Amino acid sequence: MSNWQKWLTITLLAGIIGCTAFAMGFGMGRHIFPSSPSAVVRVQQEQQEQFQVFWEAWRVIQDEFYTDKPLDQEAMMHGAIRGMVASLGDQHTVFLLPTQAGLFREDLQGQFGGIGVTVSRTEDGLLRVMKPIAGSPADKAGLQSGDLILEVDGKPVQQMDLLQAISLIRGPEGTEVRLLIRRAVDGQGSDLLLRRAAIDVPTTESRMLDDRIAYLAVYECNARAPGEVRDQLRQLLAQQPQALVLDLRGNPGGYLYVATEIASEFISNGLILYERGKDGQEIRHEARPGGVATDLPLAVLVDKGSASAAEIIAGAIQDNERGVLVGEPTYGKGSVQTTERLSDGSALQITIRRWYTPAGRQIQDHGLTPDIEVKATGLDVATDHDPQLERAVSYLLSLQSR
Amino acid sequence: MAFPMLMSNLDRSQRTPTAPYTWRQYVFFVIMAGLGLVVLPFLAGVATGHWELFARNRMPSQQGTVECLHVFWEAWTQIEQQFFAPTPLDPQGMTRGAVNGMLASLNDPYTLFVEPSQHRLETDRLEGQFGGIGVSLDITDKQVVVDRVHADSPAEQAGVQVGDVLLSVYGMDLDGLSADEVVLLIRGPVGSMVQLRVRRGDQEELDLVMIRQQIEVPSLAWQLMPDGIGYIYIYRFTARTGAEFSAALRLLGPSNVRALVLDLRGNGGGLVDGAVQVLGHLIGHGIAYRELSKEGETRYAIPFEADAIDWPLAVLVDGASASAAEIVASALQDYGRGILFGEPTSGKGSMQGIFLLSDGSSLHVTTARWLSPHGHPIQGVGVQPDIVISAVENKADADLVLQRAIDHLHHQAEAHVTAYIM
Repeated sequence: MSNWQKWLTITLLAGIIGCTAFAMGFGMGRHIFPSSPSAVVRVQQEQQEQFQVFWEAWRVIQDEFYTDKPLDQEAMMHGAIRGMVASLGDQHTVFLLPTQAGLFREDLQGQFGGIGVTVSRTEDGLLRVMKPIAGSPADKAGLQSGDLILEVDGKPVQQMDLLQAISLIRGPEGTEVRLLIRRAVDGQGSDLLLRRAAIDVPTTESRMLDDRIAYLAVYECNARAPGEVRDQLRQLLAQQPQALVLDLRGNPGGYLYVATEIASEFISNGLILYERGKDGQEIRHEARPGGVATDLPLAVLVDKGSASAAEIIAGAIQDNERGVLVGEPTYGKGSVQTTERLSDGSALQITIRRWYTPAGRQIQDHGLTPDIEVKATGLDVATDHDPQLERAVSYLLSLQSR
Repeated sequence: MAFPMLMSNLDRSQRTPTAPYTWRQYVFFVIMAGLGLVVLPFLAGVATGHWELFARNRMPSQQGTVECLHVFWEAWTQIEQQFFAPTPLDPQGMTRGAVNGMLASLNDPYTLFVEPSQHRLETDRLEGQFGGIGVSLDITDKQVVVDRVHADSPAEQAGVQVGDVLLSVYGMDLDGLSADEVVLLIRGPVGSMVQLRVRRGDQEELDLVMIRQQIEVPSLAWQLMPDGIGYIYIYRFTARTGAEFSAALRLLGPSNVRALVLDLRGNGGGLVDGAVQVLGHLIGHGIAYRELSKEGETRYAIPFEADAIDWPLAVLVDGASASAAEIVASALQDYGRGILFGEPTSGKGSMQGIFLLSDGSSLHVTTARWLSPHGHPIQGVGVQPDIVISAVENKADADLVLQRAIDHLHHQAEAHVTAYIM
């Protein structure tokens, strides 16, 4: 073998070995290693075929849609998420635009610019005023419980979801918002211009009623609620009450852990609720020991506006026979949501589990039925008359005289 | 420990100063060759393969990437991983939901998603014909009842009677089907067989078999009115309208007719081609409409018809006359070819294309605005009639609009004749 033949052989061998190694590495890189650190790419691969139709539609719009303004791809993408989420048919699984997600966070922190009113959705898609905060812009403008909001800044609320409507009503402190409302009292329409103010989410309120009956209202199960409830209960207990009315009317809920915390103030031991997720696994939430009002006779006021975390508290009290529920059937939200932030600041609120009362009741769509049913009428609201509270008090007094 | 090693190393190299390589140098050489020939190409391969896959996946279906869509996939993944659903997730439903939501974000009521079954019905409607059996059905939640049996239809020949309750088609139960689904089950290719089970009266159940025929849905109706006034009522514009219009003119008989009433009231539009063909028979030259699309302005010509009629013309319109009907009305008005009677038209000055998607669904997409031949915009404005007669004035039993049009044509026709004699 001459020298050049030797070198040629070596070079060829080296080339073959190198190429083989490269090919093996290429195959390895494609198949054995995870395709990407982000789940995003993996999903695209799996869903690509099923999702073909979306790409076709996207392409048609890019190529063919005639409009005066340039296409807003971000709005199209947000629309696609909203439509995808809507197809799930679960009203509690919702997409929040970055601004809405921001408002949502503000809300749980307990302060924002707004008009100072709690609202709920009616069956025909309007907003019902639940509870104007004393001294708030809504209160000053004469809004009352039961009034219906039809339009916000000229936009009909029926065409938006609840969060959109709320985010329209809220806004920076000092700015104005126009509401078209229908009064509960006389059914008259009215156009109101309100100046937004800083609203502290009122979380609790307490006082002593006649006959040494203590009264504690919890308006929202936000992060501040457990501490406030405990403080208020201590102050009330110092005045030696013979019984307690816990008012959960209009309480739309909040954090699940807050519900177990508050329920634990009244229930010394036992189950508060349990959850069941998609894997069928049960998560049990027991009462935390050390509650401050576990013996006091108790009546709980509930209505259609008591939802979610408020229903957890009421359901635990009812099933543990710790007290009676007085008022109207509750809202009926038996699911648990998590909020997931997406990378552009928008967020998804996703139903992840169902929850059940200690006795295993699923309250979705049914709500809790009060032990003592007392309806409140628009007239009661207008005349500042509270038959539900009166009935709760008379029930508690009857316990005492027995 | 390290020091003696170093010493011995020096020792050995000193002992064989003439050898080309020490064994340590061989080991080093082999390792370097291995690195250079095997490991480095392998790692390069891994990296390339990985990158290639990554790059490919970032370009789904080769239709270009949209940067912001990664947020959509984040949402999709979150739903897949976390959403608690009573039934398994339906990716097709989610995909269609996404398409719907994406289209909704465009804020155009005419750009919308059409399910596959809806698309088939729509095609039948625009074609003006389909394979069927010739019955009209009254479909409620509870039952499907034969409302009307068309003369000489397959259904009549097979003995279907008015009042028969339809139980199944080809043995397939109709319970739980929507009205559209029932209709689509009965329709099918011309020449194919369909078997119906019907209940007649209280007890009797019958199996009837028939062959589907081409069922034509006329897009217009015509009538010769007193004093040589022809009347043509176009319900909607389909692929058949041009031919039907031509036939109607022929059957009205040019020798009998002195003037024509064209009724476009309640006509919501349809195929633009149908409208343009009608203009061919009425004007026979010029521009039908101007189209503004992404490509700029395009002028669409009226097909040349040497024997286009020149009879005096009155056109009836109302607030429900839209789209293709407005094209006809505005062109006739711009050219001074006819007098418009009635209410302002709907004002739908946009055009939609129908785009078929791979799963049989389709999109209606607004692809253009259109203007009248003289450049009048229609969108949101509509066409103003020359003689406005409001719906309040126009009592249904009297049809004042038609009456006014006929009066006008009488007057015109007389003037026309007088002029001719002179």
